[in-house]
Amino acid sequence: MGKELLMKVLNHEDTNGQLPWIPFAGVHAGKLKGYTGRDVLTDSAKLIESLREVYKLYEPDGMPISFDLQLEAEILGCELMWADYNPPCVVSHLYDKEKGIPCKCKFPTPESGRIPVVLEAMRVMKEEIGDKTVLYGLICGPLTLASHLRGSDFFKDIRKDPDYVVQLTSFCAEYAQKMADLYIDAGMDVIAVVDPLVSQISPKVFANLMHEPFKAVFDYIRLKGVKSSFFVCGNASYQIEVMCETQPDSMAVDENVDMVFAKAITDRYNIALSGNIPLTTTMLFGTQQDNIKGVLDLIDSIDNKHNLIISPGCDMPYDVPLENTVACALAVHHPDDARAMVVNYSASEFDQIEIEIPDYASMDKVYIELFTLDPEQCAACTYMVKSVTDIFDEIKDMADYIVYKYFIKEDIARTAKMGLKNLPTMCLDGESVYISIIPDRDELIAEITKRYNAKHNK
Amino acid sequence: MTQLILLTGFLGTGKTTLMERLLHYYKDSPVGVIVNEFGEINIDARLLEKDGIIMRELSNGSIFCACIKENFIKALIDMSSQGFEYLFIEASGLADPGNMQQILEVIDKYTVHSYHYSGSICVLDGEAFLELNNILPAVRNQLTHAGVVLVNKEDLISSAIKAEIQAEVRNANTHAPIYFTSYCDIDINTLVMNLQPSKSANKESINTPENRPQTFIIKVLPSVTMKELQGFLNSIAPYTYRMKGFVTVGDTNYSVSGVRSHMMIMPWTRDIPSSEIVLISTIGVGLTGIIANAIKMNAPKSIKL
Repeated sequence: MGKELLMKVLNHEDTNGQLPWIPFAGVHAGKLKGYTGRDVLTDSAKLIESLREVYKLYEPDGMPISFDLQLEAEILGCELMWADYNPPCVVSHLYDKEKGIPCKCKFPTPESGRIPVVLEAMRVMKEEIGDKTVLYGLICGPLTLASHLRGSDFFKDIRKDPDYVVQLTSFCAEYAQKMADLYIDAGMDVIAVVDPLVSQISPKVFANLMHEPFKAVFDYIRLKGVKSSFFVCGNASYQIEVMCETQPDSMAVDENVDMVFAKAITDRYNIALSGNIPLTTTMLFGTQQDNIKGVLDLIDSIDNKHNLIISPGCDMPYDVPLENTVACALAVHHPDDARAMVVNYSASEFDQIEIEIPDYASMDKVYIELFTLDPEQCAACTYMVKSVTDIFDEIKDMADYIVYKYFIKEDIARTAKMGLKNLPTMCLDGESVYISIIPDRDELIAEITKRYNAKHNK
Repeated sequence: MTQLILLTGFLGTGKTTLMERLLHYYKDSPVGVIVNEFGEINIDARLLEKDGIIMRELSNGSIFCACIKENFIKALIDMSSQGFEYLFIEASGLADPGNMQQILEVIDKYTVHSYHYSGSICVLDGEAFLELNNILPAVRNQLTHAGVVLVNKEDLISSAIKAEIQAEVRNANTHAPIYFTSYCDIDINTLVMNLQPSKSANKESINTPENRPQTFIIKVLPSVTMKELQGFLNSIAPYTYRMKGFVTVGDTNYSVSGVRSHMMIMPWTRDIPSSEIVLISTIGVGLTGIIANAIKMNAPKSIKL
């Protein structure tokens, strides 16, 4: 697990079937610390705090620092509309009325726009976790940046004025190279060229007009001695082949692409493929069981585990429940344990197990019950247990605790009997108080003290 | 009053050589130099470094382009306080100096000692001129605004080509005296005395940030062999306007100067800032892939981007 595993895959080496995992936590990272998307995209301290949480809870083998395809367009003069729970979107285009090419004096520097926020987070994360996990710097691809600058007429230009398209995308490719320079200097191991619009043009147009700018960016990243990835969103099934021709080291696709189909193509080019846990149906709205099962089904569907990375399809929605991502991490890193859990989820035999629910009211102390998937292998579970053990000396006169594990039959039955849907969950005297949220020490001590005092009419 | 002389000419025509000759000729006079390159590294400034000469480097764009025109104006105002007899300005290879006189009019009220614009010396590469003249508007404009035209590399061209160049130059510029030279070897006094501001009307420069060619900086490790370096440079030469820089091969420093297929790698006895070569692409970002292949084929371990 960790950096070594993912680097092996990016170097197309054998990993004995072990698969790396990359949670694409962009604005979602902010959710883990109670920050909005805008907070983490504009404030390096909040971004760093959130990324530490991603690392802690999701046990990534690789992770992006920021997922914001509008950053470059904003520097070049496009206006953005901000949202609290999404990345911003571009609302004005520099050249929607008249064609133009931006000034090269606007090439990005470490001081441009919000780049200082990203660079600061990159430097700090590199120092703190850079030897343990692969860090991704994400840049906007030449096609998407060109359309940010020109607006929707860019697609008309593709037909009517290919010379202009070539000029504008050449500028955008050079811009992308400069962005790559900044992020590589800040210690990024992988530069991901994110271009959702690639799925919106035909493979023929891509081959004719986009091959050169994209290949120039990937060639450049390779020459700079780091790895590259080509992220696309939407149904890019027909574009996979022409994307491969631009020679990235890896590629990431979302749920609109059939991974088996895509992998057959990427394997021919010896390019690692990353994907494609469904973002909404599974990660956002599914249960933990759905996520574990989804990941296992995905892994099982692909025969050749070489050159394979498991990740969400794209930038994770802000509100993805923490426990769902934790479940994905567990399923990728410990598929055998996860398989047993799935069996447990669907088995009915546990209904027969007699479970005695404690009489909490008659207990002298507050009873803390920690319901976990696996306190050793699930990071969020580990931290939830630790939140109690770390303060136990201070609360031992007021509270007792117990840890339940979702691979022990009795504990599975107890979880079901308590009506718990998400793990980890911390119950206090039978009430689920912290569901997939790890309380901080002061908050937990205060809560236990309050409950203890209530028991004793203090 | 400071006499201001502008040196123009496409990449690799010999501007820096001419500048060296000028500085040598005026070594006992107070002179200043502005060296402009549109690459990020100012190689020519390194080549011209001499004790006692006040030099200002303006990199990353043409001094006539909006991107660094402001810096150029500031430098001119700043240097006007030095009381130079001559200020020589070496423009970048793709500079269009159409607005030079306009710039001087604008700054006149801010200068300490005012400038007298003596004119521009346009250096042409005799071997490449006929080809480039039709491709690059900036080359044509340099010629139009020249006060003197110096057709360099005479030793490499036939008399028929000379006649053709003469006709083309006259076609673009009816007044400027034309001199044919090799290695810019010309009597400097004659050159400067015959210099006069162009009679062409002032025009806005066509230099814009958008039409700046892409530049790449190649890092060369000392472990490189001369064969590897030459192989690499030869592979990419057809796709560049210009290649120049300093490199360390083993424990020896060299200056590198290439214009298309003509390459000069000469021992360099002074220190070098870093072992790097600036490449100016004729094919935009497409040069990235050519560089990647050239490194792979020639020097995978000792040349990097």
